[in-house]
Amino acid sequence: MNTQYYKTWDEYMAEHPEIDEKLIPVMAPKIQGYEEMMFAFVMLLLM
Amino acid sequence: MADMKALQQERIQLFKDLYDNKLPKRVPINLVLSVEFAIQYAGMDLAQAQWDTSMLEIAFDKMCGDFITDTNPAMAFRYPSYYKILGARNFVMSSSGFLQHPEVHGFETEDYDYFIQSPYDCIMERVLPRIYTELDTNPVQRSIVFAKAFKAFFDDVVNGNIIIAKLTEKYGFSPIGGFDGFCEAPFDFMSDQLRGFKNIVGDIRRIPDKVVGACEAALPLMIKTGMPPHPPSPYGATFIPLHMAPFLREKDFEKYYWPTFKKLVDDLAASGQSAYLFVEHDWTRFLDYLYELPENTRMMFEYGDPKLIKDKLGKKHILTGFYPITLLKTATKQQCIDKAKELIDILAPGGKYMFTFDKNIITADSVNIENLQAVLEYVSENANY
Repeated sequence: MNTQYYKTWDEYMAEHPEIDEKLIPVMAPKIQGYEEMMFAFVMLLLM
Repeated sequence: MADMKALQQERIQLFKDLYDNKLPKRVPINLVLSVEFAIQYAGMDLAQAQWDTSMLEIAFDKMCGDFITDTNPAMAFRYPSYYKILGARNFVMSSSGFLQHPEVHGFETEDYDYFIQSPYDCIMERVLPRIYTELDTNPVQRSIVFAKAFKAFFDDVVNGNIIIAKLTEKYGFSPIGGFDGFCEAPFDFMSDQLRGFKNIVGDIRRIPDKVVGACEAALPLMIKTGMPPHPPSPYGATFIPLHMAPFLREKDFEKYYWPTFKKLVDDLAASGQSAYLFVEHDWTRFLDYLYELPENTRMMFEYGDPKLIKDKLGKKHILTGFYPITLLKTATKQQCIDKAKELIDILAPGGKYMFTFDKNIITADSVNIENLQAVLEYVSENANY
């Protein structure tokens, strides 16, 4: 998606090279989950 | 409790058979009653119960216990809390406690190019602050408002969903048969709160290419919005209420509405998610188009000739709706039952039919409750295969 207001986990990781690899399995679903929830909320506001 | 589990399994099987192209034991019933109906039926204050969502458990419980249906009739996803925090112009609670939906638009003609280039950024930067007045402020204040609204949304939706899930188990409803996602046809999305119905009609005449471009830009947003938050299932469905097509000339429908709408439904289906269309108003002119959608698309019809529609679409798609809720208010109990029988005789043969009304019942006083209960009882006891 061409936007500065939604990031995939890969885009997030590219901006945060400091993230410890062993934390990725627990961080990724949480961070991406919040991203998806916010996207869904924004779209609901216009439907 | 064991009886309820057995009842739930029986109801689940009705829908599995329906979606697996088998004849179910009987016509499944998929009744949806609004949150306003539930609150009024329970004798509660409409505004108070929508703000204090803990009250909804009593209201939903009474409704679930009093009306025969195979799916949970309770549905709630709009709550006043977050609309109020955001200063919404599009959903405003009236003095009677109803969330009214005034005609608004948050997208100006000069926004088309930016939207086509970057639709989500255009929404975030330009559209939302025009529709939600509390966002039209400095970035710090806007962040705080948005955080509060999202927290309110999350709290109320989670609370409502927990109540509904609890009652699904308590009353042995099927968790499948309804829908688990929601989005709009791209042209409807542009026509509704972005441009507004009146403006989009003018745009079609003055800047047709930009309207086409905007629908194409909105399509990926709608596909993403329509996917459920869990892996798709052949038994799930995304609800898509269809608004504008009956108000368009066929050549405009073909150019502006159909291409991105069809792509939306096709892409959802390719991902394993069916669409549950609310075919609002009269789509008789467009039945041949609807036929082209992926097999087993669920179609809830508001108006139209049930026999014609069964003949044209009933072998490929799953039909529902048609039963006029106005009859439940104006006719006798026997006339209401006769209407149910008439529709079942037309629509049930060969399967691919579930019973519901032509639209969701919004208020408790818009129907005669005894007539509603009599129709549901009739279908549950007589619509056997």
